[in-house]
Amino acid sequence: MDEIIQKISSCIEYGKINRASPYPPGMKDQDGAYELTRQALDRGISPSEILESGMIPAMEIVGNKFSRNEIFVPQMLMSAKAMNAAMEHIKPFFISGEAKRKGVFVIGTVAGDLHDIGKNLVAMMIEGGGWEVIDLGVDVKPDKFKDSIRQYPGCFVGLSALLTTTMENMKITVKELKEQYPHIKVLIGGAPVTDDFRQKIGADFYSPDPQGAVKYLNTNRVLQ
Amino acid sequence: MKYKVEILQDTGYETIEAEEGSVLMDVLGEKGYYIYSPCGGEGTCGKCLVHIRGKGIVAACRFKIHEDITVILQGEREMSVLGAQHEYTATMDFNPGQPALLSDKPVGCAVDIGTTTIVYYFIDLTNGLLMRTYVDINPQSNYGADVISRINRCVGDAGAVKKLHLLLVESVKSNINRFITDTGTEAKDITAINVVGNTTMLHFIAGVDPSPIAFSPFKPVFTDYRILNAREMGLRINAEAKINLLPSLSGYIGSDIIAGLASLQDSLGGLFLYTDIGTNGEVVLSSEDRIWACSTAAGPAFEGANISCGSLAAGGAICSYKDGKIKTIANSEPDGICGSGLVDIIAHMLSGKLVSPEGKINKPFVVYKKGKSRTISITQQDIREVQLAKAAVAAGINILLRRSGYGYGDVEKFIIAGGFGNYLDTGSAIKIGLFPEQLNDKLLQVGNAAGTGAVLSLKSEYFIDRINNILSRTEYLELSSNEDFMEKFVSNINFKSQTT
Ligand code: B12
Repeated sequence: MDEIIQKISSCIEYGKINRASPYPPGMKDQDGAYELTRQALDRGISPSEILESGMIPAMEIVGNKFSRNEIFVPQMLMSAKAMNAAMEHIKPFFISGEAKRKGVFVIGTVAGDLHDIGKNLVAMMIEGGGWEVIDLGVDVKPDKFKDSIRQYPGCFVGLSALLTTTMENMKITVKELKEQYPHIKVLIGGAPVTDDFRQKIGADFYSPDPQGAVKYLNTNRVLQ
Repeated sequence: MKYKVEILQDTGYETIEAEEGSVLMDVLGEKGYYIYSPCGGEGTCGKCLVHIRGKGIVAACRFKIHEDITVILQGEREMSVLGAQHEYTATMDFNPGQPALLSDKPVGCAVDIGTTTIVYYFIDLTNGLLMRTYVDINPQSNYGADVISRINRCVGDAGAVKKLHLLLVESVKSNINRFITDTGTEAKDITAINVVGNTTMLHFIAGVDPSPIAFSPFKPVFTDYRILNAREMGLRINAEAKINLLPSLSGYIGSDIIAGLASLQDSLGGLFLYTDIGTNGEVVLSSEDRIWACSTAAGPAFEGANISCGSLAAGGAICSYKDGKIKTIANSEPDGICGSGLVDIIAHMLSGKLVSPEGKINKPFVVYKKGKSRTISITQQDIREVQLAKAAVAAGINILLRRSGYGYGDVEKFIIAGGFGNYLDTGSAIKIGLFPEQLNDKLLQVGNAAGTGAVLSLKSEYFIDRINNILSRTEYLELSSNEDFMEKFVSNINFKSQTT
């Protein structure tokens, strides 16, 4: 593999956003994900190669480390930021069609709930896994999810809830979505949510962390 | 018939025997346990309080032994948290107003309803002296550990609101009865009950459905001063006695916080921070004119919840850990780790590089081996829980300062109220980043300021003016919609602050 792709990959793994960023201290004054991605494109490496051999595998390493509790929120967020910086250069190619995303993932925090840190991390990790993410924000009513489902046929939907009280709204949302769109796949998560609860409310998948959701999406996308 | 009396104390523990029906204070006295009882066992001074496991706090001079019991002798430390006075308590002339006129031996009851415990203070309204202090476990605990879980029971279930209301009323009733039995006071002499608590508890005691507090936009049904009728609530005290609920600010800044602030001396002046770290983690920044307040939702990690070997601050809980030396509450065998112990242990692990600045450990840290079967240890997940909780509090402090335009250097005092805050080793708290290093020499632990506020409201009818003054100057910062919160929160999760 090209050395520069290797470098992009480690910038993302360790959260080196750009040259100016002081983090991580061990990579000070080096080019970051932002500069290296530009250089790679200028050298004629294709955007999908950078995405598939550099960025996505790095995010997978990060996601797995987080699942094993080896790294925590700040490190994962730095990696996601580095990934975003690289993505800035790749995005135009999605529009031109030179690079492709795996599908669309719509995510939001359910009605009545304003917690979004976990949801944001999930959104970033899934985007880093090569998906287009539509983030509907917080306090999202079922109708807003439905609008997106109509707008992005074949999308997956993710719901986040952090309050015991708003888990009830998660249940209502799943019910409404499933009634109107029986084939839509709904993923759920958030600190108080469990797999038992998922079964009870008829959602399709639960994961305690972002990487589980990435894996689920990757294995289920062909089926849709 | 003889019973076993197990005695747990700061200095050690032993088991003694007692005759059926013997008085606990006598039994303890014979074995050389000195129980301070200025009234000489008359049951009037309320100083000989001891904790009996499963029964709560009792007066040793009144308690007769009819079964095997475990007695936890309160160290001076324990009672001092509840003790209503400290050097920064506001001084107010004794001026109890109307309630003092309803009887010739009037007694007022101040209540601090916490989510976990309820504290009762009985005040002689002829002279303002504290007659008795009782601590009760909040009987709603079976309905969930935090306010959200309890509210959750009430969503669309008026029966549950009623049930949770009655549980609180039962606690008030039984503690009043206990006081009446202990002191010989007559029910008609209890002429006022002043209540502080978090906003949810105030809704429950008023019998009002608190559901709106648990959903965005988190608007409580009421925050204003409420007067309830004691008789209507089924309390057979003085016929004209009122139950006064002191006013709150918002759904997550209750009258406990406001009364606590009002209980502080004016001379504190200048700019000070105030926090009461329980599950809600309220933080307040007070300047001479304006006040800013927020609720950081730290979660119950410092109350021992969500921690693998965590426990409430009760007998057997590891409450301090210094250089490998364990101290437990009541000096009994370690049984779990409470908030102050948890903070000490993590500070120790950081000093010994047993945990990385990012919170990574290589293997669980064994704190104590309990026989062959059980070890008390700190796991990776425990560290993560602490990181989230302390980051929430630290982020709240950052945001209040930023909002007000002040810096750490401008803060003159940092008041730490509440039980956990009182036992906490401030050095350890700074080490783990719960409190900012810059405020190291400004920390002041004041114990249960909320309870002090409730007591002051009985002693002076003008105390409410202080409360209203504070309310009129306070701005509530809703962190949910604060754009800086995520950044501040995440940058405080690591142990070494990496604020950018
Ligand atoms: C930060 C925080 C806040 C912030 C939220 C800021 C924001 N923009 O999100 C603020 C301070 C605003 C807040 C407010 C409230 N909070 Co709050 N908050 C927390 C806290 C400290 C951390 C939550 C967090 O961000 N964790 C980190 C993230 C990364 O974890 P996560 O969200 O669980 O997400 C992970 C997984 O769950 C998963 N995941 C999440 N979503 C999804 C979705 C899918 C599809 C998948 C697959 C996975 C997934 O992936 C993420 C990464 O692993 C917790 C307590 C704690 N110590 O955990 C309380 C907590 C969640 N809050 C709580 C409460 C009650 C509130 C309030 C309602 C009341 C209050 N103040 O106490 C208010 C509401 C608003 C108000 N009036 O202020 C309670 C809930 C209790 C309960 N029984 O439900 C908690 C548990 C604290 C407590 N015990 O009191 N809070």
